[in-house]
Amino acid sequence: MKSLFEPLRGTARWRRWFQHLMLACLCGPLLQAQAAMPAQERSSIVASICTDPGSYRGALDRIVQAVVGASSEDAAWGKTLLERLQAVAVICRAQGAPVFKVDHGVVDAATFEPVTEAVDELPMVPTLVLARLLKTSQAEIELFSPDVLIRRAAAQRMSQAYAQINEPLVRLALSKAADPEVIATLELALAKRSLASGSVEVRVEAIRAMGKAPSESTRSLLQKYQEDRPDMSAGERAALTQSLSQIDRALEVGRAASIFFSGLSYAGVLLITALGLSIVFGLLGVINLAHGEFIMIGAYATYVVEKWLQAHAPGWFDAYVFLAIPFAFLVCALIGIVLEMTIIRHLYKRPLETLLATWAVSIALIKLVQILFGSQNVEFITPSFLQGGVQLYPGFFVTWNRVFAIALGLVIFATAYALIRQTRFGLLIRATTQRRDTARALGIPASSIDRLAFGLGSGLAGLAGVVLTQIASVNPSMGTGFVIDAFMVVVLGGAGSLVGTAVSSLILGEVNQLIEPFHGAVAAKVAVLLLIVLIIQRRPQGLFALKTRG
Amino acid sequence: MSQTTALYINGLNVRFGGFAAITDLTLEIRYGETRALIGPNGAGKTTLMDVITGKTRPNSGEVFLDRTLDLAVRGEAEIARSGIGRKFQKPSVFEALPVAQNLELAVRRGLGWGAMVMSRLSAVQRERIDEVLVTIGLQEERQRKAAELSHGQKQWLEIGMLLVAEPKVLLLDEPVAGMTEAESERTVELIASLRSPARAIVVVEHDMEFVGRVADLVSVLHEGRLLGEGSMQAVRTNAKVIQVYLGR
Amino acid sequence: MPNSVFSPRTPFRSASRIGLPALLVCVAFVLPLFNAVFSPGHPLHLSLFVVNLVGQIMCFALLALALDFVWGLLGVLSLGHGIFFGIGGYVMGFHLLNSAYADTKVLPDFMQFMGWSTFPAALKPFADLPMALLLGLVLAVLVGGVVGLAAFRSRINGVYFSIITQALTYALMLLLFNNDLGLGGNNGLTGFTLLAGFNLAHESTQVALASLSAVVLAAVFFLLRRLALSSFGQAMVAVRDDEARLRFLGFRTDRIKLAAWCLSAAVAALAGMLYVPQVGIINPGIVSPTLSVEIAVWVAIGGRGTLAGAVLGAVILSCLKFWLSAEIPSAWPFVLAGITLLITVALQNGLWGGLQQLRAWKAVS
Repeated sequence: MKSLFEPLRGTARWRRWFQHLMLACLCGPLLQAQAAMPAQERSSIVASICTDPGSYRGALDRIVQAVVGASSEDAAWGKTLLERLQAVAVICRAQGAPVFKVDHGVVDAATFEPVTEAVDELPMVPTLVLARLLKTSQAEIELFSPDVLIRRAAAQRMSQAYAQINEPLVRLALSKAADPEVIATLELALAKRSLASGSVEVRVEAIRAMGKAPSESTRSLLQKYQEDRPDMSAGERAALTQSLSQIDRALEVGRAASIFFSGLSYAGVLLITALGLSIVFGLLGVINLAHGEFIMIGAYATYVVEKWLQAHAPGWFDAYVFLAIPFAFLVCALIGIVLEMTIIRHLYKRPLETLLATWAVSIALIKLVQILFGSQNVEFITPSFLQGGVQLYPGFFVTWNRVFAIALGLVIFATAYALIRQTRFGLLIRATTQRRDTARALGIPASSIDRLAFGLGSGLAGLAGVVLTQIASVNPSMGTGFVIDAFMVVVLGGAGSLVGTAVSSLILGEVNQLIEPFHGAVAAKVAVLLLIVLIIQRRPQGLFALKTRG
Repeated sequence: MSQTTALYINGLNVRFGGFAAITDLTLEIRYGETRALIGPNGAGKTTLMDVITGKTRPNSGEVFLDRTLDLAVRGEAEIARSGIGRKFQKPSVFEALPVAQNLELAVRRGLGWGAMVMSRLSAVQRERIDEVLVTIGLQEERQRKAAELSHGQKQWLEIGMLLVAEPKVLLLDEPVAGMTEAESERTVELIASLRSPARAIVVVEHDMEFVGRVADLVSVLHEGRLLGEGSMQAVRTNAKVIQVYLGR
Repeated sequence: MPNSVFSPRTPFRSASRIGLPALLVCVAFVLPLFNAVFSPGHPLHLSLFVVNLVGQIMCFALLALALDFVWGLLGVLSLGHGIFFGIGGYVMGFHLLNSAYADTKVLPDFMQFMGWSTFPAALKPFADLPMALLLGLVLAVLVGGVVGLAAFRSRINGVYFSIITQALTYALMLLLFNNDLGLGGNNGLTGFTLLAGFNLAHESTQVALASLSAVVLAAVFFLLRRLALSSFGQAMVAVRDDEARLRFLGFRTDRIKLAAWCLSAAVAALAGMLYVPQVGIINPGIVSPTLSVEIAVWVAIGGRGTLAGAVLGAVILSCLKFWLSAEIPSAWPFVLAGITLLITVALQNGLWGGLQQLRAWKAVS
C-alpha cells in the first residue's frame, strides 16, 4: 500500500517539507535526550501522577518519551514505573517522595534506592481514565518493540484508539518502521485522527491523502465519514467524492487482478492435472479414470517424504517439496507401468472397457490408501519460504504458495513439452501413436513405447499431486473432482495437444473464477460444460486437434 | 439446367483448413445415365459424394437435386429421404441384424415419431423387399445375420438397402473393391439392371474395365478439379488424363 | 474377430432366454411375502431387514435396466444415470415430506435449521401422490431431454459423452450438497412417516413396497423387451452399430436417441421413486459420480445388451455388496474392482453372455 505520505505532486510538496520539519522539531528533543533525566524530574513526573489527574496525559507522554528515548537508564525507569502503576504498586506519600512497593520492601520511585522509613499508606489504584491511558502508553512503547508481531499488534491498538494517539510519537515510530503491515496500520491510525480533526483543511487534506492510498479500510473510513457528516462543507464533499471514486477505481482494478490471478492459479492446477491425461488419452487413446488417483498418490508420496525428512533430516525439511518431485514421479510412473502391463495392454481400441477397468483400479487404489493412511485430510506444513504473501495492489494479494504452484506447474509443462517435442523419446512416442504400423516397421518397439508413455502420463499426474499438497486439501478421495476437471480440459483443448491443454486450462480456469465467486461452484461447472458443448459442436476434436481428416 | 437434370453442381469449392479438396467444380448428371467418377486418390471424389449427401458443407458453389433441392443446406437424413442413396466404400450394413431386417429398416426411409413403435410393414413394403432380395440375389439368405455374409454379399446387401427406398440418385463408392472376379461380374450385371429413366447412377471406381462396361460418361477428377469429361474411349486417350494417371 | 455370434454386437434376443432373471424376479416378489405370511421365529420368516434389501435390489435392477436400454441397445454409455435416479428420489422425498408434515404438523429438521416457520410453497405441488409421480417422471424426462438434445445434436458420442455425464452428475451432487438451497443439504431429506396413508414404519407397508418393486421391475422389463424387439429396437441397434449408415438411409438418428434416452431417464426416475420410501432417506450421495459408474459396472458384469443381463448383474452385485459390507467392509472395493477387471478384460459379454455362450456350445456339441 502506498504510503499516505508519499511525495505528493505539485504544490503540496511544500506541505511534505513542512511535516518533515515539524517532525524534526518535535523529535529533536526526543532524540537529543542523550543524557539521563535528573532524579528531580523523575520525581516530579511521578508526583504529578499522584496528585493531578489532569496531568496524566502529559506525564505519561513524558514517560513514554523516556522509554523510547536514547537513554537506557531512563527507558528502564520508565518501564518500571508503568509496570508498577499497572501492578498497583506505586505509593504516593503525603510527605516525601513517592515510592514503589517491591518484593523486599519499598524503593524510591525516582532513584530506586531503598527507603528505610516505614510506609503505611496504600498504593494508588489507577482510575479508569488512568488505566486506559496506561494501556495506550503500553501500546506506544510496544510500537518500538524488536518483535515485529508485537509491533503489529500495537499498531492495531493505535489504530483502534486513534483519537488518543500521540501524534509525534506515532510519526516517530512510522519513520523508524520497516514492516509494511505496521506502516499501513499506523498511517491508517493517523489518517483516522486527521479525519477527526477540528480543522476543515486538515480533514480535506486527509481525505485527499486517503484517495491516493486506496484500500478496503480507507474506503470504509471515508464511507463512514460521509454517513456521519451529512452537513459537511463543499470542499470536503468534493474531496470526498473524488477520493471515493479514486479508491473505487483502484479497488476494482485490484479485484479484477485478484480474479485474474486466482483464475491463473486455478488454470495452473488444471494444467498440471490435465497434462498427464492429455498425453495418455491423446497419444494412447486410453481413458484413465484412475488418473485422479495417481494425483492422489503423488500427494501422499509427498506426505511420506515430508514425514521422513521431519524424522530423519529436519535440517532439510523445507526442501521436502523439491525432494518429493522425483520420488512421486517415480512411484506413480512405476505404478502406471505396472498397470499398463497387466491391464491396459489388453484394452487398447476399446475405450469404454478401459474406462470401466481404470475405474475399478481407481476404487481399489482409494481403498488401499484409506487403509494405509486413513480417510481424513492430511495436513502439510508449508515450507518457510512459501509462507505469507505480498500485496501487489490494493485489494490484490498474492500468496507465495500459489505463486509457487503456478511456477512449478509451468516448469513441469515446459519440461514435458520439451520432452515430447524435442527429445528422441518424445519423437518415438509421437511416431508410434500417429502411425503405429509404420513405426513398428521401422523397428520401434511399439508396445514398450506405449508402456513408457503411460508411465510418463502417470508420473506427471504424480507431480500434479506434489504441487497440489501446497494449495489443496489432500485425502484419499481428492482425485474425483480433479479428474473430472482434467477431462474437461482435455476434451476442450484437444487430446494429445500440449498447447491445447495449456490454452484450455487457461480458458476454463478463468471462466471458473469469473463465475464461481458470484454464482457458486455449480453454476461455474455448468457454464464450463456449456462452453465445452458449444465449442465441441464446431470442433469435435477440441480446439487444437491432433488429427484432421479421417 | 435441362429438364432431366438429376444433380447440378456449379462452381463447387471445398476446403479443409488450408487444403483445397475441390476447386471450382462444375458437373451435371442427368436421369437415366450412369456416370463414372475417376481420378487418383485424393482427387476429391469421396469429398464430392460427401457434399452431395450432406456430410460436408461446401465453402461456396451450388449443389442441387433436380432443380429445386439445395443440398448444401439440408441435413444428411433429409437428403437421404429425398431420394439420394449412397453406398460407402467400406460395406456398411448392420452386422447384428439379419438381412431381411436390414432391408426392413431401409424401406421405412426414416421413422417418424409415430411409426417408431409399430412393427408392421405395409404389404407394398414387404413386396418391395422381396423384389430387391431377388435383384441382389440374396433371397436364400434373408434370415442370415449380415455379419455372416461374404464381402461381396455385404456390398450387394448395401445396394439392396438403397434400392428398397427407390432412390432417384444412386451414389456408389467403389462397389467392386475387394470383390472376386465372379462377384465383380455379378455386380456389373446388377448395376446395369439398375438403370432407369427415373434414376441417375454415379459410380466411383478405380477398376477401369468395370467402368468401361458400366458407365455412359466418365468424369475425371484431379486434385479437386475436373480434368476432363467424355466417353470412356475419349478419356482413355486424353493426354492430360494419361499424364495424371501414369505419373508426373 | 472373435466368435461373432456372441460378440457384444448382438441383436436383442427373443423370449426364450429370460429364464434366470424371470426366476429372480418371481423370487423377489415372493420373498417379502414370507415376512408377512410366516411369523417371527418360523424358519422361513424373513426379517424386515431382508425384505427391505430385496426391495432395494429390485430398484437397483430397475436402474440397471434403464442403463442397459440406452447402453447395450443404443450404444450410449451414460455415466450419469444417478442424476435421474436422484431426481425421482428427491421428488418422492418432497412428497413424503408433505405427507409427514400433514401427519405430524412438525417441520422437518433441516427446515427448522434454516429458520423457516411454514412449509414452503414450492414443495406443495408434490403433496398429491399421483401428481408427484408424474412430476418426477416429467422432470427426469425434461432434464434428460435437455442433456440429450444438447449432446446428440452436437454429435457428442462415445467417451466424450460419458465424461460429460460424469461432470453433470458431479455438478448436481454439488448443488444438492449445498445447505442453503432448502433441499436438505448434506443431510438429505428424512423424517418420512406416511405414504398414501400407509405408515412407512409398519412391516406390512415395507413388504408391500418390496413386492411392488418386483412387480414394477417385471412390468418395465417386459415393456422394454417389447420395445427392443420392435422396429424401434431394430433402429436402436442400428444406431449403435453404424449411426452414420442409418442417417444416410434417411433416419433422424438424434430423434431415435433422444426418445430412447428420455425413456431411460423416466425408468431411472421411477426406480428412485420406489427406492426412497424403502430406505427412508434420500441424500446427495446417491448422485455421486462413483455410484453412476457402478451402475454401468452392474450392467457390464451382467452382460450388456440383453436387458436380462442387467437385472442379473444388479442383483448379484448388490447382494455381494450388502453381504461383504456387513462381513468385511474394507474388502468390497477390492472385490468389485477384481470382478470388473475380470469382466472387462476376459469376459466381455458379462455373466449372462457367458451363460448364453455355454448354452450355445452345449447345443452345438
